[in-house]
Order: sequence, then C-alpha cells, then structure tokens
Amino acid sequence: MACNLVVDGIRVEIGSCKILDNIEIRVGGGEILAIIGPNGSGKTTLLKCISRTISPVSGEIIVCGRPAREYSNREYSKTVSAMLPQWPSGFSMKSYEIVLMGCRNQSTGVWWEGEKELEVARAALGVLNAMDLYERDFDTLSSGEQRKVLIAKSLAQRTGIILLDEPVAYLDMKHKLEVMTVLRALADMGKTVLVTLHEIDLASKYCENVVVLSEGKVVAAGKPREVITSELLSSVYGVEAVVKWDEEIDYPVIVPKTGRLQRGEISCLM
Amino acid sequence: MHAQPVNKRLRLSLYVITLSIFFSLAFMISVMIGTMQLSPFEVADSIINPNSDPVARSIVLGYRIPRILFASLTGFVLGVSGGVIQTLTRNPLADPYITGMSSGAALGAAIAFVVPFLPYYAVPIMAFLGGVSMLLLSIFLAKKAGAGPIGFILAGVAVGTFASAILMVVLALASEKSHGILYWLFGSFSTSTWGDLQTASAVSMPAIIFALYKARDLNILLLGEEHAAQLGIDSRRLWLLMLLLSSLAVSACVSFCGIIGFIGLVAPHMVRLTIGSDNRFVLPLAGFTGSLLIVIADNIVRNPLNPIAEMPVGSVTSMIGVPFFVYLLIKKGKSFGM
Amino acid sequence: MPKIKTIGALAVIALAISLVTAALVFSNNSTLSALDSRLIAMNSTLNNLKGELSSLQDELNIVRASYYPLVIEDALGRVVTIKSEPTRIVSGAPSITETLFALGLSSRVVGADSYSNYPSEFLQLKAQGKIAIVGGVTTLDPEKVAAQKPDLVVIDASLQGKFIPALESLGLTVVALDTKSVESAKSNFQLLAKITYKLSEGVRIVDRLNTAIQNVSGKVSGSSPTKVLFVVWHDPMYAAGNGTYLGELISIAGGVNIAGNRTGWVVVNPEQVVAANPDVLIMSSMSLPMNPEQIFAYFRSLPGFENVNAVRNNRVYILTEDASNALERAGPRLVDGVYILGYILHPEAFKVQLPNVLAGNYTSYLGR
Repeated sequence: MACNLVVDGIRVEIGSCKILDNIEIRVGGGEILAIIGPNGSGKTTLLKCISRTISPVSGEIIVCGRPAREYSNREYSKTVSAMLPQWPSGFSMKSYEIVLMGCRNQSTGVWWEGEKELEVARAALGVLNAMDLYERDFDTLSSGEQRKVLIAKSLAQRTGIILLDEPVAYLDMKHKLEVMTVLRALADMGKTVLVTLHEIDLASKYCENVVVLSEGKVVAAGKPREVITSELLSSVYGVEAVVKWDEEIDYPVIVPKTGRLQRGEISCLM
Repeated sequence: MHAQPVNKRLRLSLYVITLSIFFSLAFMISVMIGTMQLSPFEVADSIINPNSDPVARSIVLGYRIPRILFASLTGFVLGVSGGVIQTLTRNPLADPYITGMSSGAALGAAIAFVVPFLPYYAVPIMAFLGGVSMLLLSIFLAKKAGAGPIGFILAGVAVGTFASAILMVVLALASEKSHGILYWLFGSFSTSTWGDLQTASAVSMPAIIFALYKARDLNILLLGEEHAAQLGIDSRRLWLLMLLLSSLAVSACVSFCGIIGFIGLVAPHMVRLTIGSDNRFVLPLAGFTGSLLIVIADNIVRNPLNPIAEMPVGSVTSMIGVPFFVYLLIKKGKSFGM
Repeated sequence: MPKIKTIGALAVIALAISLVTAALVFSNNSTLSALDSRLIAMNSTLNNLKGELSSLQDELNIVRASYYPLVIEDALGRVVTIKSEPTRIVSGAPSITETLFALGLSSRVVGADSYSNYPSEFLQLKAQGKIAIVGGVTTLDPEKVAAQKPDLVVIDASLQGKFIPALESLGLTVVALDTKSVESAKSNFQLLAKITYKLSEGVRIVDRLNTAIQNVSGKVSGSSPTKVLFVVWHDPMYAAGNGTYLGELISIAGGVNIAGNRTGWVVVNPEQVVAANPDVLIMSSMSLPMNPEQIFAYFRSLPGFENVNAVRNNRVYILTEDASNALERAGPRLVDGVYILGYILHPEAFKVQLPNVLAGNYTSYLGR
C-alpha cells in the first residue's frame, strides 16, 4: 500500500507564462507533505500535474516507481486520488452519490454499487464525522460541508497516494482539526498524503515535511520547524510576523505585526 | 438511519413499471382512436386475423402501430439523448440538437425537397447526412478551439446558425415547395412506416442501450472530464463516443419525422426534478417520459375532433409539456441548482 | 309564199322584241324612280343616324369622361378610388395577370409577379422588357412596383395584403382581390373589367365560365358522384377542403371531396384516405416535387393504398404545369379547369379518357 511519490524536475507553462519551474518533491508512505506558499505560487497547479489533470512541459512524475504517464486511467485512479477545487455543477446530487463516485475505481458492478462500496462511502463520511450530510443535496451544503464531502469522495477511492487541495479551507477550527487528524491517521496507516495549505500552523503541527512554493519555484523544503521562520514569512508572503515554537504544546505561534494602510485609494471607497 | 441506496434498484423498477403501464395504456388508446374509431376487439381482430376488414387492418397495422411505435422510439431516443448531452455538456439548457445537428438535418431535408425529381426516400437520407455532417463539423471545430464543453456548445451554435441561414435561403427559393419543408420542420409521424421504424431503431437502439449501460460512468462525467479521469474513467473517449452515439441516434429518428423539439430538453429535467440527477434513473425514465409525452401529443394531433387536424406534433408536445415542466420548476426548482 | 311567211315571222319577232323592249323600258323607269326615292329616304335616315351617332358619341364621351373617378370596394372591403382609366397596371399574381390579358389589356400591363407565365403574349412582352418582374407570390418589392409608375396595382389579398400600407405610402392605387369561391372568382373578373372599363369583355369571360359550369354540371348530373381527394403536396397530403373554390369546382364536376369535412386547405392523414377510399386521387402542382412515376410509386407504397379505389383502378391523376395552373389559378382558364375536373371525375359522361399525367399539352385532350 505504501507508495512513493517523486516529482522530478517538472516544468509547467500555460501560454508563455511559466507556472512551475523545476519542481523537485519526494514523499514516502506514512508521510504528510504540506505545500505552502502565497496565492498564485503554483500549489494547485502542482497537484493538478500530479493528478494528471494537466501535463508538464518537461520533467517526470514517478508514482510507485513508474512514470505517471504510463498508467491507464483506471490504474492511476487506484493509486492516486485527488481532491481538486472543481465544483460538480449544474445538476443536484446527493452527498452520498458524490462519495460513491469515488468508489468507481474499484467497482466491479457496471450499473449498481456493491454493498462493499456503500460501506466504504459510509465509512468515508463517518470518519470525517459527516454522516449527517449523507442524504443531503450537495448544492444545499455550506462550502465547508461540501469540502468534507469532496474529501470523503477522495478517501473512498482508497488509494495509496492522496492529494488534497486546501482540504481545510472554509472549515471552522474544530472541523479543520478533525480533517487534519483524519489525514494524520491515514498517513500513520501508511498512506502518502500531499496537501496544500494556507494554515501554516496546521502544516507545522500535522505534517512531516513542508515545501514552500513561491512564483513557481521551491524556495524552501524540510521539517516545519526548520522551514517556518519569520524570515521566510517575510520573504515569501511579505508579512512581518513573529514565529515562536511553543515547546510545551509542540505548536508554532505566529503573530503577525499589523501595519496601517498607507494607500490613498481607499478614500475612493467611502 | 439512512436509506439504503440498494433500494434504488427497487425504486427504479417501480418507476419503470409505473411508466410502462401508463405507456401501454397510451399505446392502446392510440391504436383505437383516429379517423376511424376502432374498438379494442376490432383492433385485436385486425392484428390477429388476416381475413379481417382490410381497411381496418391496414389502418391498424399499416399506419397506427408503426406510427405510435415510431413516435415512442423518437420520444425515448430524445429523452435519453437529452439526458446524455446535458450530462456531457454539464449544461441543463443543452438538448440533443445542440451540435447544430437539427439545423443540418433540416437543411439536408430542405435540399432534398428542392432538388427536383429526387425519390421520396431522399428526404430522410439527406436529412441524416446533413445532421451528421454538421455534428462532425461542430466536433471538429470544438476540438480545434479546444475549450471543452463550452467550446463545444459555441461551435454547435455557430454551425447550427450557419446551417439555419442557408436553410432560410433554401426556403426563400423553395416557393411552392416550402410548405413541404415547413411541415417537415414542424415534425410529424403521419407517414411513419415499419421500414422507417426498422431503419431508425437499427441505428438508434444500440446507441441508446450503450448510453444506458454507461449511465453510472456518465454520472461521474457530471463532475467534469478531468475528475472522471481521476476516478478511472476513460473520460475523453467516453465523452466523444457518447456524444457521437446519442447524436446519431437522434439523427436517425429525426431524419424521418422532422425536428421534434422540447422533449430532449425537458424529459430529462422532469425526471431530475422528481427523482434526482442520477443518470441511472434519469436516462431510462427520461426515455419513457419522452415516449409518453410524444405519444399523447401525437394522439391530440391525430384526434378527429381536433379542428386543426395534423398540426405540428412538436408544438403539441410543448403545449402539454411546458405547463407540467413549469409546475415542477416552481415546486422543486429551488433544489435544482440552476 | 314561204317569203311572206318568213316576213310575217320576222314581223312577229320584231313586234315581240319591240313589245318586250317597250315593257322593259317602262318597267326600268318605274324601278329607277322607286330606287331613287329609297336612296333619298336612306340618305336621310343615314343622316339622321349620323346625327344620332355623333350625339351618342358625344353622350358616350360625356359618360366615359364621367366614368372616372370610379369608386369601388375591393376584397378587403377597402374603398378605392380609380382616378382615371388605368394605363399602367401592375399585377401581383398569375390569376390577375391572366385576367388582365383576357380583358385585352396586354399593352397596359407594366409589371407582374415572377410566377406569371401565361398567355404566350405575356412571355413575349416580358422577354422584350415591357413587363417588369416586381416580386413573387408572397413577396412584393414595393420599390420595384413604384418604379413602374403604375396607376393601378392589383394584388392577392391573402398573400400580399401585408404590402398594402407600403404600397399606399408610395402613393399607389392598390386593389386587392381574393378567391374563396367560384362566385368570388367571377366577381374578380367583373371588378377588374369595371375598373379598366372593359365591361363587355368582363361579361364575356364570366359568361364563358358560366357556360362551362352549366355544361359540365349538366353532363354529370346523371352520374353518381365520384369520391375524390385533391392534393397539392404528397407528404403531408395537403388538400383542398371545404370553403375553397377548388372544393366548389369538385362538386360542380360531380365529385364528393373526402377532405370536405374540414374547412380551407387541410393536411390529410393517409389513414383517413384509406378509411374514406376515394375513387380518384388528384395531385396538382405547378412544378412537381418528384417525377410522375415517383409520385405514383409513392402513393402505391403507402400502406392500405392498394385497397383504395383510386390506386386500384388506376385513377390517380397528376396535373402539372398549365394543367395545374388552369385549376389552381382562379383566372379565365378556370373554364378549362372545370372541364379537366369533369373529364377526370366522369369519363363515362363525356366519353373522354384523360391520361394520368396532364401537363402543358392538356388543351389537345379537351377537344373543344
């Protein structure tokens, strides 16, 4: 079940615009790797690349020792699952119907889901503490609830490698922790988890390693404690902040220094 | 605590049985009524007994049954294909004609009307060729543009508009033949024959059965081509294959009976509004709904009490379907996600 | 002695000759005087008549001068004033063109629709550029009409009525005609004759039609009616129903229209045809959608048509070109149309068997 994911020097260009440049990443089984970086740094593009939604101009993605492009769709779907920010739109679907779609990769039935698949779907929602969403229309859910359903869909794929694009966005503090705990537990079972996060503190707490992307390049990588420093926040995010590691609770405390808005344009908004 | 989705099989069977009963009733009534009113006994007699009244026999076997069957086939194909195309484009406003296929078929038929001294079976052949060529053209253009479903819809609109423009020119030149063309455009089953039925179903039924077989994968295509690929679906191929097959199926029917609007758009929505978006329900039930709608509409068209006898069946389907659709929309539209 | 006899005989002959001559001279004299007096009488009568003629002519000129402006009501109930005798006429439909020519107005027609093609004089004038084409049946180009500077525009009320405001705004005198019945066809002839001051020609056209109708209906009155369907298109079958002048002509010619239970031009379902079982099926089209053999094959291919009398007895008739125009255009050629229908529906009454396809050569079969 444990699977290594190696991103070997990929480059992505859309038009003449360089999105990713020579990215090198390596994640092993039992490990959560967090990709952090400011908006537009290429985090989602990287996940799309690994999930084969877009193909890199050069470089290789190696999944369990085999180049990703050599997999068939079905093989790949049994190896890598991805939760990407794309809404199923236009038609109303029940939450469980969406989660069950995740089971399609291992399904033997062409028309109906088997009992096993239903069990998996229930487990996926159950583990996220979201069984109450089971029969709800996806469209009527809040953004956070929808996120949970989409995570459950990914989990239902039961793959060795799980990619999640901002899995805790829109979630409240409790649910953020819940989701991260689940991911931690999955990694502890031997799965390979790759997440993009804006929550630097959560990344530090739950992930073995952090990769910092900025303008399509890896600017830092390593253990959270080593990577996440006030210098990094300043150079990558342009935020002046105090980073303190609380040894007692083993958790980073990040306190941004807020400044006054200097721009004159704001007066136009009065 | 939660409804077992396995019950879906039972629910689907129930819906299918209910709609089948309604459909059978509509079918039987349809065979009985018309210019010559026939009792159930006379109908049965003319089917079973080769020596029964030749007039009743040719009316029942030569006209009514092939006509009703063709109407049902067309309704079924339009309903299923409508559901498929809406799924493929992920656009609830899409219908089977979105590829510009209907305009192409209309143009082909119109040309067959205008070119002098073509045999009478030239119209369906030309309509089919016209429809398929516009379909292929719009797929080709969409691939060139490479903008996914939206690019496809826009290419279809462009191709369809272009074909319609030429059709208008043909109509303007057609003079006294234009009422033949117009009547074809309205759609009618008045001359559907067993031969038409055989040809149309030979083309459309395999496609429709394949679409139904792939209903679960089509559900996943609702998430988008990329998501479907990540779930193990050969989505690009399935997308193109489903589009081609369902359009061909519609083309095959429409080439004989003319452009029957509305069913392909609305029959799938009627099912979605009542039952949900699962294509395993939507596709077969939309097929039955389409058949039922079209057979009822055709009955109104054929009814001797109808003062405007043989009016366009497409407009009747709209007249009876739209109020029901609007009712559903108002009642359940909020959960529709549109 | 013989000499005396001879002299005597000669004397007798001479006497006789002188007697006869005297008698002749006498009688010539009396004839001469009689002739003289008659001549005098006739001369005076002639003079009287001449006077009368010139006074009549004066009267006529006064009447003619006061004939216009003429106020008429057209088919749409519009009251139209014809200011003077029309000399530049534009026709909007073949039936109107044909009526104008039959009234002897060929030199006054300056514009017509693109479908007008009869009589041959029309085609000559069109080829010479003396008649301009101003539109189709349902389309009319008001500017082209106005460019002919017409003092009268005659159009079809139902197909071209929509152009009236545009034509009137160009200052044209417009008369709309409509043909819903044989009677209205006749009144169209009369109205056109009245407008153009061709009264006796108008009477002649109407008389000819009346005579044809009387002849045909008289001949067929002894026969039992023939069930018939008259269509102008095959799929769908677009048929003349009740309330059309063709429906009326069918009953004049001894037919029962199986589409007569509905009003106007109607679509007939083939199932209805099988049930009604017409004896005769007529398809009439100016230009056929397929060749005649294909049309016959089409009708034979319809289920149950093998049991329809018209198909079984080879009484499916195709009228095209002039044969179709004679019926479908409510012009003076309706006279021919009435006979065509009569011959098709009741060959036994006329002892004439028409061929199944009747085109431009139809007059050779009418034998009148």
